Amino acid sequence: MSLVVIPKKFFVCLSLLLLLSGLAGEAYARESSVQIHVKGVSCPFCVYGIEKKLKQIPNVESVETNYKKSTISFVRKKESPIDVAALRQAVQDAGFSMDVIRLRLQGILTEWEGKPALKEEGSHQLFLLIETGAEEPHAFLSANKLNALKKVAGGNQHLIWIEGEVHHHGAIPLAITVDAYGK
Amino acid sequence: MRRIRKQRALWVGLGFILLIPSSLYAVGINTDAALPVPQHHILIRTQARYTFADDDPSGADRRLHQLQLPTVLIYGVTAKTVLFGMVPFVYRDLSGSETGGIGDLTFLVRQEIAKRDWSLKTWRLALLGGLEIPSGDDPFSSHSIDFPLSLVTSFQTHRLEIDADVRYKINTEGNGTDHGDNLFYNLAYQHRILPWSLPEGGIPNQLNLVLEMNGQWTQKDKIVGGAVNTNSGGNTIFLSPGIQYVMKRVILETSFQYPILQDMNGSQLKTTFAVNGGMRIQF
Repeated sequence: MSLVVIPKKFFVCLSLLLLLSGLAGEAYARESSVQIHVKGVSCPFCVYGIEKKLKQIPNVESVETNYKKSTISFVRKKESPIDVAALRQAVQDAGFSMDVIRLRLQGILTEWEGKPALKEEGSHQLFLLIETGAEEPHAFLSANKLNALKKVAGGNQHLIWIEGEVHHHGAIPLAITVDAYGK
Repeated sequence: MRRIRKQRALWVGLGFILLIPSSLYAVGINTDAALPVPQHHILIRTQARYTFADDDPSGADRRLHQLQLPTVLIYGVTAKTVLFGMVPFVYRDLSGSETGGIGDLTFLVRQEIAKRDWSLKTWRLALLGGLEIPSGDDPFSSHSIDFPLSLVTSFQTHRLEIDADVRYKINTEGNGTDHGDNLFYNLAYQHRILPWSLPEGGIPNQLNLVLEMNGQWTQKDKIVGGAVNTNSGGNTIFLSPGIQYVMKRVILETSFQYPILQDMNGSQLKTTFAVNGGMRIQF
């Protein structure tokens, strides 16, 4: 009976690969992708100024523009709260107008003054949960939809992700529409 | 004495061609635009403009080759307020008599006064005002402080752009001459031909075809305390097709200007054609 001898080097490389992919996964989970829609941008020469202004905001990295859709995506570290006012000011300083912010958040379901909310993992920033398509600040998530989220989460302290549009209405926490969600 | 008179005769009626078409933050090549410059942003625009004139009604068979090299420095004070500083270098060969030097410096402020942004398009309206100071070398300096004032508008989509500007320049006295005022009126249309369809991601470089109408009217000069100079003033309209390659940080462009109307007073030398090319870069 002969055994296939697997070289020691193979095990070392495999272990290293598993370790690195684990670390990469860890790093990826610490970052969150943000997409903003900018109004008024209609030439490649104009895009440069907006990207430059956004890159000056702390923790904004990997800025990429989709010229056809007039959207700019970037990555932020989850530990840093999203600063909608800073983003809006950066786009204004470049000479344009920010329209919609789309975000994917990961966190745990919670409440703010009795209203359904998500506390983001890392930054602990609160986001009120509102209905898709809602524009006014008080269109909070319906009981049915909240129950569906709780079912997916499988418990209050379990992580859930939510994707939607971010709204800013003065003194209350940021709100996010629940366009998509999952575990 | 005879030699000086002959030289002066050569320069007679050149006033019109001395005018340096000064489109500053043009996105049309020879027409100003009202598009924004980000706050604390710097742009530099350089151009080379060659003018050839040999239509001489005076009978002296004058022939002019002129090369102008205006360089414009642009700074965004805020997203709505922009400063411009322009210095033009000029080289001229008039029937074998060569001269070169720096023209007068121009300083302008542009203030956005209205705008409307939509998804994938924008409209802007701006006012420009400033002064031109007599810092240049002879014979390129007007020796007077002059005051340009203009209204500029731009409408831009992913496919096309329309710019229009009207500028009135109040020219004052210098070197014994009360220079006539100028009115510049310009209209530019740009159309993206490449890529014809935008890709799904990224920022493509684009190639635009440009067509402009560039007009300039000049009032007659007056000799201070004396008569009107009948060999000055007039109206010229250029048709200017061009091409522009737009990248994220750099624009390269060129245009050919052909006078479709030249209504010049007296025996002024008329422009046959002009060609210009230039580059804009942002930092």
